[in-house]
Amino acid sequence: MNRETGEHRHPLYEELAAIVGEEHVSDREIDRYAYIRTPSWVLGRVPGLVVKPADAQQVSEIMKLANRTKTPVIPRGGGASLGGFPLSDEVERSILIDLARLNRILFIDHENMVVGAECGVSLSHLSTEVGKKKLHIHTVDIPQYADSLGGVLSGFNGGGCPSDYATTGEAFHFLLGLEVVLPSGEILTTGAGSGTNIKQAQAADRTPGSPDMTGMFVGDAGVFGIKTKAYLKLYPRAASLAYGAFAFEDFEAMKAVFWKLMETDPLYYTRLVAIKPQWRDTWSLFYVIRDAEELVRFKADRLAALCTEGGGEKVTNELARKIISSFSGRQLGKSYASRGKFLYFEHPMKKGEAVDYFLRQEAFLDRRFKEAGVEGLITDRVRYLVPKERHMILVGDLVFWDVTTLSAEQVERLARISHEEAEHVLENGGFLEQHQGLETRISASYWSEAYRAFMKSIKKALDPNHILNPGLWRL
Amino acid sequence: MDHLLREKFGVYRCDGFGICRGGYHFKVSPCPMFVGSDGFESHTPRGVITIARGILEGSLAYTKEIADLVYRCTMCGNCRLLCGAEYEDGGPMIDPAGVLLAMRADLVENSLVPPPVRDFFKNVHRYGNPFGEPAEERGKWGEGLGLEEYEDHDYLFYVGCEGSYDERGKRMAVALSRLMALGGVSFGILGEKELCEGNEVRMSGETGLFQWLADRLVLRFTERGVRRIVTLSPHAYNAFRNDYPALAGGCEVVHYTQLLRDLLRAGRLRPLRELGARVTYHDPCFLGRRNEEYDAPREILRALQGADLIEMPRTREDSLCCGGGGGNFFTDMLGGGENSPSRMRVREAHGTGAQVLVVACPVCAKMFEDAAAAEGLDGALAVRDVSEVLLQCCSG
Repeated sequence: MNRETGEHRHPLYEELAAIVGEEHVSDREIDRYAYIRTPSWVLGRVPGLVVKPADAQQVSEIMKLANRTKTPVIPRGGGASLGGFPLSDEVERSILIDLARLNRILFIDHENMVVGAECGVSLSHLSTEVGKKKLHIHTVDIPQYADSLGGVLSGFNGGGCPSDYATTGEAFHFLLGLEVVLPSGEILTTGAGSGTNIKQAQAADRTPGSPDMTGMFVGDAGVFGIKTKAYLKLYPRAASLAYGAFAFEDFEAMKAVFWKLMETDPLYYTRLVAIKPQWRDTWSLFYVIRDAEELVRFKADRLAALCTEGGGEKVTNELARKIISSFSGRQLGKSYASRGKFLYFEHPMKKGEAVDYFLRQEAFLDRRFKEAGVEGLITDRVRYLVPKERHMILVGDLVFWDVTTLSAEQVERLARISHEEAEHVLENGGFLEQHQGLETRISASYWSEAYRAFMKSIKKALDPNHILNPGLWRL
Repeated sequence: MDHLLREKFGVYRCDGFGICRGGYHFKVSPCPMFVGSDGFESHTPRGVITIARGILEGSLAYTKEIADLVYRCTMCGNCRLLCGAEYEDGGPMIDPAGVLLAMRADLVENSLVPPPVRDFFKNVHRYGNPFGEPAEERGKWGEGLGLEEYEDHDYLFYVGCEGSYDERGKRMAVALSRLMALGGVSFGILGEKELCEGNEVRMSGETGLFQWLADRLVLRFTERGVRRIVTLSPHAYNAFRNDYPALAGGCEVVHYTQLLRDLLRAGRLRPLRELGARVTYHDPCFLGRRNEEYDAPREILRALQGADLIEMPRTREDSLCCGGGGGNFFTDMLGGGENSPSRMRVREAHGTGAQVLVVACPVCAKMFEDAAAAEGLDGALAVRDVSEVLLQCCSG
């Protein structure tokens, strides 16, 4: 609201207030400004107005209004995107839809092992509620407190870094269906869930009589529709858990054990991370095993035998916790903030090429940090290798700086290094996993012409006025 | 924005994950400023830090809207705990309440404080208390109790403004005085020579007025040779313990629950009468989160026969603020309503099946008593202070 005249700045204020109620819409400067913040290094642009709908029907009405007036729309979940906020000029007259009121858990169906929830629900809340019934959803560690269900399914490739399966994007595999409000305002249900595309009350599959259209909305950064409900598989909560770490003096010895552990059947770990924080001279293999008690014992014994035979030395559980807390954990944000602002250079690679690539990436980053004059300002650096199923390894280098010691020029140089590293990974046979905010622009710049044309045609068909998340994926 | 500049490190160190917005186990945010609001991001700790960054970078300027926003915070400290970013020595690295405090100090220096805050300062400056009551009325709560003016007693009983002037606080002060007498504690009061200790003044950003109060109060303590202080309010306890450097080392400060616990341990108080009630205990922010005293009040309640202590889901460091801190008890910038923290908290207390919500702070007592009435819980949930329930059990 304009304080001097008492008039609302945004031309759609009154119409939006009629849809959601006046207390759920604001064009006050401070309310709009507060939304520019995410964990990204880059602040976003200030939206034109913020609206907080209560359900999919209200989201639909907002989209119809936006279409009529050709007003850009930016959906927002927990605001925990590592890729930041859309930076298009269009943002400044946009409607930002804060989905926090869509936070209901619809049902926890123990018999059919399905949970349905609105997409504004926080993962911490969802995870806690299913946990009360001794059930489990595969959800993410990073950062979980603040992530919304819809945000996680839209970002990375459909999931952040999960707590059990060790690498990004796994939430995608546990998703059964979605309710999505399309840019036109139509409400569509895909896959499993109430009112599916095949007019059944419930379906239990992603592809009931059709191609998998649920997948189209996964990791899309929210450009094809606004997720309002999601249905996820439930799992029984593992009765027992063991964790620990083995330290290796020699990188090659660690690698040999790592390879063997990825080849056993069954796998002896639920989660495995090869990790070297800056404060340790040696690499460690950190593991988590979740299973029935006797199976946990069996797997832990086998894993320990392989590690010991390969030259590993078991560290205390206290040290194991300290080692892994530099990389992950349910309260990851806490340990991150203590070390400063970070850049993560993380890519999935074919197993056979992962280590060579890792060493090249490390050398590349060392060189670039030195050239940028920020090498001595690094507050922490964590190298890691994480199995992604059996055929891929996630190669990572997590680097922290105390942002208050960096000049604006150094910050800019770091942003450039991030782009250059993206080129480096593509040139070296890897691919990018970024599916959020600004990062989509980097990822999309490496699309083939045919794929770009395909994506543009889908976007045009769904969003002819180009109002939903303009600027993402360079669409 | 000199004060905010000093908090620049914390503002820029914030990673923006938004963990400060909500606890791990709770759907409902633990931030009093947020729960009672319309739910926009601006009312979250992360939102305020973003606005602070906007001010530092010149994108925003201090306005009435920003002033109204930052004075809604109760300084409960929950966001700092949730964030958890800390130095190796365990000290907090990012303190959203500290950022808000700096913004308040800037607003004071720029004469931009909201009118209720201005009136609060004016009363404290003019009358030595935020109620705007004459100093000579300060000691009247104790008339008929045979209390002595402090001379060479073991303890100075620092009653504070709520205990001296607010009807609810006065009942607590009376109960505590009777218990101390029963336990044979040698104590005296300052009566009309007592002065506001200024915790809420400092938390509202008026550092000059706080210093003025502190200087005078320390002088009065020193002139009388005060060695030990027992406070009724956790807010005064916090100020004396952490913000009165002139007292450091020379004077022991205890909250009354700590003194009562020691009296029970020493057998100087004998709660022989049965309480016969299910009780739940609310941790005040300035006793719990800010000064880490969670156990003394619980030890007292566990010592009571027939007191069935049931914990609320949010307890100890997770406790939800009553909404009265940071000056809000006097300024009411946070406002009331169904989603006000005090009403949410009494609903939580009632939900445990407790018949009595026990508090250890005159601010909490008043906030919850009003909230229980607004919730229609009169008769179903009594709000009582630790000293009141202990006195009931110790009375012959």
